[in-house]
Amino acid sequence: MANSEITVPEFDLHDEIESSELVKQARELDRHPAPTVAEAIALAERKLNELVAPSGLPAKEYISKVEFGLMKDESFGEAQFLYDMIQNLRRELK
Amino acid sequence: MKHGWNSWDGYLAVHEKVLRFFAKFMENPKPYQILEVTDQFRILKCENIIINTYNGTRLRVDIRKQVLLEQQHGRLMAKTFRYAYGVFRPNPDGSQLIRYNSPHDDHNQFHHRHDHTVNPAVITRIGEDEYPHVGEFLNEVLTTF
Repeated sequence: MANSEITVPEFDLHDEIESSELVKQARELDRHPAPTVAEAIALAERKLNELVAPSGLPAKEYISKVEFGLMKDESFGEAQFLYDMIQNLRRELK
Repeated sequence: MKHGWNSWDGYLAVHEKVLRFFAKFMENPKPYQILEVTDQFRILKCENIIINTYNGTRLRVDIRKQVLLEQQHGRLMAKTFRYAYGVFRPNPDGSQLIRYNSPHDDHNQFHHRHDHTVNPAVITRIGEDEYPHVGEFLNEVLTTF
């Protein structure tokens, strides 16, 4: 295969939606009530704490050290992603 | 506009299609997972994808998006709100190579790209609407390493 950029082909969105497993999964999710913002924060914080626990560091310190290349990110970016999401959700609560 | 509002169904179908398109480069093709955060936010993620590049380099890719949902004219619409795309050397090395991030609250408060392939690592600012689509990111991974 040529070592060059490839282009994702155009497609019929309607057909893709009708056959999409992801769309089916989303519709199934919508059948149940979503967590409240407070519940979402609690869930995300629990997950974040689980991710950083092996390091023995608080989440913010873990993320800072990773950011500055001072330690390997065992979470492969998920800790930072969750941390950002929690900050956003906290703003929603205010 | 590159990253505007789309119907939620269309947003999902496009993401699924793109991932399927690149499946031939993956050792472990897998679908996205959708996580419901609140009624306004969903997470779309696909983690620990092992990709073999054109040069035969074996890498780990993680894609995470936080999607904002809104009813517009009776239709559920979606827009990427936060994202993180990362490419790493697979474990046991696990080191970062390139990472794209939306703005953080307390540092790098702009869209940016981390390049850890150089020493010291470089952070490049990206225009608000110029961060790559997942397909563009996967193209970059396939052609760079």
